[in-house]
Amino acid sequence: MKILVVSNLYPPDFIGGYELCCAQMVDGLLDRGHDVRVLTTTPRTPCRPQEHVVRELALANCYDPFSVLHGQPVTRKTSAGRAAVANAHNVHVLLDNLQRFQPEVVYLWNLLGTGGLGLVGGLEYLNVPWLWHLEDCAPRLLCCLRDEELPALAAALGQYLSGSYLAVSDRVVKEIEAGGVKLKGHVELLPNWVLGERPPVRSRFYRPGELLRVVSAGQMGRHKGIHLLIEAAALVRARGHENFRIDLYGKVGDLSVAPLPREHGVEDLVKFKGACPQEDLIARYARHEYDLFAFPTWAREPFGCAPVEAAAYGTVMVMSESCGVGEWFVDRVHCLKAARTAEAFADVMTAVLEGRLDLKPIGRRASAVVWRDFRREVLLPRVEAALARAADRRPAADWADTSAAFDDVYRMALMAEKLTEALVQETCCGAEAA
Amino acid sequence: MKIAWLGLLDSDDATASTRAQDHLVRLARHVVLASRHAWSIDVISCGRNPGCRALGAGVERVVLPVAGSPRTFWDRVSWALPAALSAADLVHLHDGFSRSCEVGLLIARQARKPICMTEWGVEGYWLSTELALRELADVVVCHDVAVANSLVSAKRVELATLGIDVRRIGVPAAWPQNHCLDAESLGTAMPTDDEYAAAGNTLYGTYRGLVDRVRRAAA
Repeated sequence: MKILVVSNLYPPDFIGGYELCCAQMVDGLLDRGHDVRVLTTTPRTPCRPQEHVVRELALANCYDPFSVLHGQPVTRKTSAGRAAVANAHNVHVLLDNLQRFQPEVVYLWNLLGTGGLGLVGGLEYLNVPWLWHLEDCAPRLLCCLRDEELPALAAALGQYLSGSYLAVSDRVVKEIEAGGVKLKGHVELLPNWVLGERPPVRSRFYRPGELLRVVSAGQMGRHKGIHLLIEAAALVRARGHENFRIDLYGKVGDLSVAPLPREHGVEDLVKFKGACPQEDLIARYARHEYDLFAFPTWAREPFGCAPVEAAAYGTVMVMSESCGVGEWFVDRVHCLKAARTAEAFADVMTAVLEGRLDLKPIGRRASAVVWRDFRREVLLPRVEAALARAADRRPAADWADTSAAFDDVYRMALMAEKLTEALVQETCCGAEAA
Repeated sequence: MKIAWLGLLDSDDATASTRAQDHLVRLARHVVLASRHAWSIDVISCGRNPGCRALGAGVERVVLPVAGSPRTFWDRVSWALPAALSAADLVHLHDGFSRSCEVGLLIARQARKPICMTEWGVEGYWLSTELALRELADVVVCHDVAVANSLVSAKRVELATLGIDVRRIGVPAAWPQNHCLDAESLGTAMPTDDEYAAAGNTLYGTYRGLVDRVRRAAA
């Protein structure tokens, strides 16, 4: 199939799993012989050209902490409007790539930062078939100006969209719909995945008396529960256990968590190890350097790839009882689930340290399930089928007869961009009401 | 069949008159009459006192709540506009200088509803002229033959002759002034009822052609 992939960021630029998964899925589709072009934003990290990647979209400053922190409210909100609602430049780039590439289907990923509503609106207007891969509540976020939700816009979007969706968890779908965007099209749940070949079965697991090696990886912030993990370490120590270590991999985006190990007196037990390339981290799991992967993430976590990558190599997942990845694994069978509190995570660690919880059967079962059901190669045929279904739902575009419709879309994008700017300015600058 | 009309009514608030409403209602009544009361028209605006009220058989005035803090009367728009237009089979925008018409154009075009836009020959409104927004309409309606003849547009132009100068209804002064251009010298004469009937008949024919075309395409 000819597939045009649209993503706000694309490696080497990424924020989290959304962009990495996008690149992995693109690689998988290319390997299976599809003609794939990726349309993404100009890189923030210098990188070499890739034949199948077009980096022509503009990214609004919604992910850039410097701009967000330093900008005046009106600047921030104007950026937010351009990030979510309309960016005429990006609509023009999309139209240009549609005309040049003439895809059978457009495969959407995260569109926040690109004026995603304008892009989806353009596809709808042109009757171009699309499939949206939802690893976060992207449609809902496109109906917000930063923290301000726009329910009427969400309701209108829900009525209007007619594509199909792959969602990583039920909670993502519910969160989108709770924001007022009803997903009318076909919605299929599809988990995230691991790459590679199944390794030999892990034989060595934690035994009481040994050093318990705990790891967590991802964004180092309170939303991921890193503060809870540090507090849990202090509680475990208070219960008389010293034979454990917690390694934390990832950028410390929330500066308030950095001093916490010292403040809780566990700086010798909990270490921030900094950002680590995904391959290096997986190599550590493959060498069985860790026993537990702790994931005390927030309830709105759409999925969470990192614990699954660890589980593939027998590192047992300890996760918040309510999070996306938890929908796919059974407590005490494939993972350990705990309330999202420091006490609950401390209880699990203590039970393992004291030999009341055996990691071996859980780790082995989880690893087997991950390699059976969560390999990208296993999931790729489902993605292909979803793309084919999306393409079949609409007649093939007659690309030779679209110039008038393309003009309409671009005019609408220009108008939407201007109107959004005007509304934001009036709201922020407190114009005298007429 | 439901038709949604937008535009001109902001000027009534600026002039503290009902000139725009009177004009629209007289025209709307004749469109409804031409349809033998099979069609109805919602005359929509955004204002501080939202609500609906009948202005005659098949003609309803709908006032939507204003969103945000608009600078001028013509900057007013409502988050309720998408819902208000969702049931319309056709949208007619009666001016090219109000935000509610611009947003209405965006919503209706995106939803592929047939759109008529009245062109009065008034220039100087950036969004409308610079972006050539009338090219997003299906039919451009002119009430003046001179305006119709001067139009350069790829769109179909329909003449629904009506001897009325839009400045009499109220044309906004340069933004952000919150008043209308002076129209004192234009007199007070308004078109006769026969003229409105003829224009209403023309509009009815135009609407019917557009709606039939959409139905044929859907079939």
